[in-house]
Amino acid sequence: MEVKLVLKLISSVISSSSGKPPVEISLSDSMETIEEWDSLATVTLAAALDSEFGISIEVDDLESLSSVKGIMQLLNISF
Amino acid sequence: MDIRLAEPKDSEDIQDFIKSHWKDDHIFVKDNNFFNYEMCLFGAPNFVLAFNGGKLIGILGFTCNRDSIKTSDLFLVMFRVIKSQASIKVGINLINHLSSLTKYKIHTIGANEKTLTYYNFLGFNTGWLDHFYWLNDDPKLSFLFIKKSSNIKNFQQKNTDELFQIFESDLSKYKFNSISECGHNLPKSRSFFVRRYFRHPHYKYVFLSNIMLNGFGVVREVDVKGFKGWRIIDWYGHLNKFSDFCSALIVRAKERNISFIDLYVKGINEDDLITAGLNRISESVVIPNYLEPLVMKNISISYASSLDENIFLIRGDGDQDRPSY
Repeated sequence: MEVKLVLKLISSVISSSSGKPPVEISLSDSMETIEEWDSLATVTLAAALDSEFGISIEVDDLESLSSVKGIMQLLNISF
Repeated sequence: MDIRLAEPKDSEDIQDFIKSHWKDDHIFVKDNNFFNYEMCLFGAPNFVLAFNGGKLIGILGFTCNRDSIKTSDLFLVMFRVIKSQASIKVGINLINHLSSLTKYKIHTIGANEKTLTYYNFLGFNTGWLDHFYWLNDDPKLSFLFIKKSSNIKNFQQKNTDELFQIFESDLSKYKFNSISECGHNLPKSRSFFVRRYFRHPHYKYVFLSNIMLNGFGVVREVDVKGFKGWRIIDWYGHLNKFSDFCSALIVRAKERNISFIDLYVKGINEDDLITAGLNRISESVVIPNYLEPLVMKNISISYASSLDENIFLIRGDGDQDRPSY
């Protein structure tokens, strides 16, 4: 999986969840740096990772989805 | 983090939270009597609350369809969590806590489409209520609602027994809380109907029955620019009698020069409703949902339910018929 593809997915999900235009996401971003990245976006990301990459996320893993780095680690992507 | 059921002393904090994090002129903020009527069913606010370091960071409001939280299906009506690093699982924990309070299931009607993903993640069954309507065939009474008249089909009205109004004292003849009497898994109690409809502080609901139904429908008359419409809000009785009620209601509506009948429902066979004289909503007509203020637009209403079979949901479940002034 490409880093760019995942960043684009994160941006798209956050935009869809918040109803606001997509923002550019970088590797250092997280819920703390992106205002629109809230718990709803996080859960939507979990669903998107499942549908796009077949990766099933459990409730206990949700905290990994609070940052781009956490998501990359979950997907085993080197960055 | 602390999650618990609200206590009487929490009312003011909940209303402040709604004011700050939902809408500062929400009816629950502006109208304390209405807040107490709708959201304090058993002596305390029907809310599960999440605190972090003593600060309220999330609320989950709900209503009940029977006589206690433990013995009710619970309908989520207000769900908001403040964004914070600690809050990723707050919403999920609120829902899980609520689930632990009842022997039955959790449902919600009218959730924002974006949040359906959230409910799906938690294993809820999600979708959209089916929207049906009947429009008076007298053009003087229906022209406001027609967009493409050629697409509206006529129907053959069934013979029906005349509906009559019933009152609170008549409810004693019905067997409430009975799944077998209803044919679905969400039967309501007598006190639910009394509290929800007969005691409503703002809206007048009419209960209608006939000798064949062994049940009753709950209807509210609405006004759209001087045109009268009937919303089917609730039903008590077996599901296989519901379409007969709709059919009889159409006869009554014609007699009384009603412009339209509006129904949002899940769990009723579409063919039965079509045979009864209703139509599935289409672009040919507009049956407005938002009247305060009026928005002349068809609206889809979502549902999410932790029940996966034998579901019967209708507009009166949850808070879809709540004043919004």
